[in-house]
Amino acid sequence: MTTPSTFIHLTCAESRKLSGRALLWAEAGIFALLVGGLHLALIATLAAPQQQGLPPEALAALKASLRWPQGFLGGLAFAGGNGLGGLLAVVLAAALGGQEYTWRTVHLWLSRGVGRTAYLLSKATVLSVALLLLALTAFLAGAAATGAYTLHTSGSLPWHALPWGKAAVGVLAATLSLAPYAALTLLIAILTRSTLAAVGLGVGYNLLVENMAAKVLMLVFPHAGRIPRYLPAMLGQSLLQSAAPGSEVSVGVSGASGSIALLSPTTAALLLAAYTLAALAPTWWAFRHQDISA
Amino acid sequence: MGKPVLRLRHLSKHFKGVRAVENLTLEVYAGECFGFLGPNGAGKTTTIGMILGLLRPTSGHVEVFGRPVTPTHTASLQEVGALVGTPGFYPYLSGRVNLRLLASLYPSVNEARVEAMLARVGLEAAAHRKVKTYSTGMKQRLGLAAALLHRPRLLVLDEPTSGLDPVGMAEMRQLLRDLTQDGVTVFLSSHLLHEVEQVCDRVAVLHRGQLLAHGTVVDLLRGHQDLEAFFMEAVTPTP
Repeated sequence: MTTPSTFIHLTCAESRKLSGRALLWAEAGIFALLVGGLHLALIATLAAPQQQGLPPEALAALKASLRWPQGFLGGLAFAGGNGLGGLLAVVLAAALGGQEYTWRTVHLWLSRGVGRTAYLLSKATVLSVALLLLALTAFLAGAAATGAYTLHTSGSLPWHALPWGKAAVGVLAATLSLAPYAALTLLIAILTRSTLAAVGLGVGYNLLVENMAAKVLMLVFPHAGRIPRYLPAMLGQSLLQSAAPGSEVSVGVSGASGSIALLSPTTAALLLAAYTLAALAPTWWAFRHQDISA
Repeated sequence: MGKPVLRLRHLSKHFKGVRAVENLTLEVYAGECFGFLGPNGAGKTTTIGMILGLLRPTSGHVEVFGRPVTPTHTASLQEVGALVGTPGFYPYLSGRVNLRLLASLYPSVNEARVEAMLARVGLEAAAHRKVKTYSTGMKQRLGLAAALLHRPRLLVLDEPTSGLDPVGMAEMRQLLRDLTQDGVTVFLSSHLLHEVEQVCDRVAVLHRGQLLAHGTVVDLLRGHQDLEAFFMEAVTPTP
């Protein structure tokens, strides 16, 4: 059963399975609360009297970065793979892949002639849509918080000046930056058949390998300092900063780049897609050849 | 005998040196109820895993409706219904929604068929409840509804009465009789020899991965009080 219509039916079924899960909506809700909440916390901090000691230009620049139109894209800073978005993507991909084994539902589909390729492809398609939803959530939460601040300080919203095109590209860029993490986690979930192992290893890669190991490498071998910029975290940052320039300003979570020169957005996008495919290819191979105990 | 619906040829499956199934050859014909017997660890579930394309045979092959089945060739399984052990469902969805998800794969299965299957297994009153609230017996009934949903021509059942109460077991026996009368071929793996004796036309006995005996129930019972006596003699090593 690998015809296009089967794939469409499977994808519809997969999306119904995912949309019926509390996990997806809980992740989106938590993400929205955190992004919106952090923006509001920063706005509140800037409004505090002790901040008035800052140079007036710096204070004005910071406030402008939290107001529309500049702050419109601020939420995307969180959606990147090396931020909170990456961790949420790992949990989602682990649940989507691993729990089918735990619940023995993978048997339910495969034993009725569903092709393994079509099954996996439908899962990857629905996971991509879920990542898009996470990126969109971060963007909307940030836009809502900065919009509220703009309305409070200016009395009106500059709808005509909003960079809608950049917002769309930024959401897509954020989605692409999440994809390698989700693909790697799906691979681990298929190989280990465990949600817990997939979450543990996925988060471990995100936090330890990408963040700590790369920094240690740079400290020990200064000439190897270029390596981190080719890792998904930095690639995501390269892409986001070019696609949605406002996204790196607002809450200051983009400091990880330090002095590393970022790659061009095209190169970053291609490498992110390559990382995603590099994780999906062995996932497909392993799943096609996997023995699934009856 | 009709045409073979299921054909296993020199089928073997080894797991890291353990010979779970060894050189198994048998055929199941259209419209019959075939009993697949064996003690725990005999290789019954492994064999069923290979029939359903979940496990890749180490050697030999499986044919369903004349077409090969492997994990990458499963087209003929579209006409197969299976209930293997305690079936898995999405616990956060209701029984009805779980069936609807599966029904979406088949253009011929509509909402009325979903409701009819829920009624047939006696779950219409609990169909709106999430599967995580179901008892093992209710999950087993839902599994049977899922297996029958698309009107399969071959039904593969592995311990279908586990978790069912005596009433449910009697209903299952009657259902199997009805299905075979309707021309559905049934491949039934069970520990319950009395049950197999009552509903099956032919049986095969698997022990330590190897086929010990197979034939009609009538033939195998010759010289034995019942199927249990035959089974015990077959699987007990002679001194």
